Amino acid sequence: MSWRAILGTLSLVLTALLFGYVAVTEQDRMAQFQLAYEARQVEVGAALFENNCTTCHGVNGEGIVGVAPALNAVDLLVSIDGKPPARLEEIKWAGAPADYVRSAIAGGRPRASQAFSTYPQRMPTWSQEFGGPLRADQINSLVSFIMNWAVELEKSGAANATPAPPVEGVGKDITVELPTGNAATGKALTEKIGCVACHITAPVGPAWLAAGGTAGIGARAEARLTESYTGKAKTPEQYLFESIVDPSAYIVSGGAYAANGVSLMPATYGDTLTKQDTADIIAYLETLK
Amino acid sequence: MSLFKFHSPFLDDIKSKGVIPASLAKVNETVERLTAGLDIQDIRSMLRGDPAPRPNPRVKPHADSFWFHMRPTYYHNLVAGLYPSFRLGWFSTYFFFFETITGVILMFYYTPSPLVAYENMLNILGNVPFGRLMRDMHKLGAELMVLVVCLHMLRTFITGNYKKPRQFTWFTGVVLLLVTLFLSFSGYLLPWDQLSLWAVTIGASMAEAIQPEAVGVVANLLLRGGPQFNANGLLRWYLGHVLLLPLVGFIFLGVHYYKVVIHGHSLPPEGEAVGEDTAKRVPTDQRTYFMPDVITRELFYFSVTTFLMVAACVFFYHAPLEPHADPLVTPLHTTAPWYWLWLQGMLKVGDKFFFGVIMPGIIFNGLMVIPYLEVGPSRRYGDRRIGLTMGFITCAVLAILSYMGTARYAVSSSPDQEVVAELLPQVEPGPLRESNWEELTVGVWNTEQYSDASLNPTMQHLLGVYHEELEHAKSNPKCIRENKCLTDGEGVMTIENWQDGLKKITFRLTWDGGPGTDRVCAPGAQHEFCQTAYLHRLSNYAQGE
Repeated sequence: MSWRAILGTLSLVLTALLFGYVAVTEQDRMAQFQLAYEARQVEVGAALFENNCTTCHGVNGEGIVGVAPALNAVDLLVSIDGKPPARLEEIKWAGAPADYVRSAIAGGRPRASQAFSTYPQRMPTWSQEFGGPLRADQINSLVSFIMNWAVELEKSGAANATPAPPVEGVGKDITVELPTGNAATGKALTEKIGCVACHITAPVGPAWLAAGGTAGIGARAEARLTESYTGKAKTPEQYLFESIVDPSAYIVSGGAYAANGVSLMPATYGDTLTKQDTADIIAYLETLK
Repeated sequence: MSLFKFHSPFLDDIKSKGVIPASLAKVNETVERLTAGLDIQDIRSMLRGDPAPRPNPRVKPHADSFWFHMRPTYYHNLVAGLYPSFRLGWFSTYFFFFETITGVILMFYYTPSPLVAYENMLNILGNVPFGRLMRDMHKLGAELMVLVVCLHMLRTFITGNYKKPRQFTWFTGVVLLLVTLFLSFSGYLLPWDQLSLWAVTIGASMAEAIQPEAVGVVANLLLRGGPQFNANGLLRWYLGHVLLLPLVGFIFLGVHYYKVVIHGHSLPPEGEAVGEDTAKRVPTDQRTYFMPDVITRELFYFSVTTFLMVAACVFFYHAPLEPHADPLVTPLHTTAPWYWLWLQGMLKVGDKFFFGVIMPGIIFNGLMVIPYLEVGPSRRYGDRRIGLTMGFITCAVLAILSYMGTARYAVSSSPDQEVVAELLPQVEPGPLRESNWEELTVGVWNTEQYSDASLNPTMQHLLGVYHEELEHAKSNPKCIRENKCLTDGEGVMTIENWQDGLKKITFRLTWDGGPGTDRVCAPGAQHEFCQTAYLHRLSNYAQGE
């Protein structure tokens, strides 16, 4: 019987020692565990982002002009010198960037008044709480993924980078002479800048491609000047030029393309496109018959 | 004034005997009260191994104490040790109380709502000191309890201890087996991860299969709390797990153990004459007394088992936690827990109602009535050849059915999915997620590069597995039979840096010439299969959960 007593007592002592060992290592283990699960949240969020968000916000969260703002952006995610990110400061958001992102995803965004909206489509409501498809934990995963961009942005010093020198925009004068345009470059540009989001993928503006009985935009530009046209263009090329840099000059009929006479298309392209860019895009549009 | 007079015998004692002798006498008296009859001298002589004096004070606790009144005063020598019962009944009870204690601790940190259950699990594992240890011990205890209870039943069957007068004891034991199985199964649902939801959904779907349909629909609604598992279902199974089943278990445990004690523990079959039950009449020279011999053995088993449980959970046993339950996504290769695999195997044989409801009903009812059918007086092995053979055949059939229940048997998704599922399984982390993140080299890799020695070990291993699975999918007996081989199959693995600390891995399989367009991974493409996974540097899937 005594061997049982010895072994039994030894077991109890060893059990107590094991509990002591766990007690000592527990804080570290728990910290590691939390890191591991936050990391997994980012992974889940990445997959959710790919499936739900890239069509509007871009594959890398860079945003699509006229469709949805950039998420992978310093002015959304990064505090500089203790001040909140620029976009949050502007709307006087009182909380953390992560909370702002979560509220935007969960509640969505109604379409702002047509006079002020640069994003004509509304952002869908995602939270199941408000009738959307995603659970709270899925939304938290998305937030983790989006906030993970802040790490990169802070690391790469993008916050402190000098802003890129402004582009020499083509301006709003449609009589300016343009260089020869390259249709292939123009096509790539329309995809990069995001024109296709409104004019091809889900036409919010007049569809560029021929469909049904309607001709493509290249052919329509030629026909346009003979109808009830109110703009200043004299040639089809000038018409296309005008529609890019001064969209409100003439509103095409047959769709909800304007509010109070102001076109829904952003009027900023005159500042952001160079002459060559514009020429390339026009060359491409002319090929779309 | 004699309204209140302070009277203490202890103070009188001090006056008459002195402080120290009086204190020692007081301690002695306290010990005797606590042990319900044994004072310090009795305990010392007991532990020293002295022969019992007459009258024997060591039987007093069995008469006077609540806890010891339930335990036998003495055992027969033949059944006092580990053999022949291996004390499996004792171990079953040990695990029942072990699970209750660890379970109540976990209850402090758990709320049975789908909105917070998973978060509670993360809290227990990441924020509660000893939380992971408690959960791992609870899970290990559950698995071992099912195993021990099954072994206990097997041992009782083999030694024929269910025969007259112990038929009802066996019956209560089968009820306890069912309680144990359902306790384990209901506990499965509580973490509300993918495994929880889908393993229990598969189980509950058998209720749905009950004919007539009206009964099945109602049974399903009762079990799931709705057409699908959600808040109501979780609450229901939680209450079953922490209230109903433990209560039923406790009641039947009481009945079961009471019957064991009043009938006495059966002797080994060769230890008594055929047809006799002498367990209760133990000659004085064949007795092993509970105090001190059996109780010290039990304390010994308790210490060693607890140590082994804690050591196992600290060093290598960890309960897994899969991703959050998603009612829209069924993980490929979801299986039932091992003790239900036989049932899952049966379901693959044929009709859900017959094999999922009728057959298990026959099996468990059959178990319950064995003692009322197998009424031969002899417990000797030689006289029970038919019964024992049937028992062993049943065990063999259960083993085969359990194999059939695994994902390796008769589960076929498309071969392209199966290839990728080997690298990126949906029920466990798998080789990709557990590999060294730093060694996942950015680039586009073909399976043919698996033997390239310039690649690091991780890439070689992953590409090796990929290559092997693809080669198998190109030609094997099963795919030939079903005409689903991936002829001219090509496998590509693309690794990209996606975000800080996040890599994106895409598997792309093409066969029979591929989709025929230059678009990669377009939805609905023919002869192409793509799957994406994101992997973070810190996600540490190899840690155990």
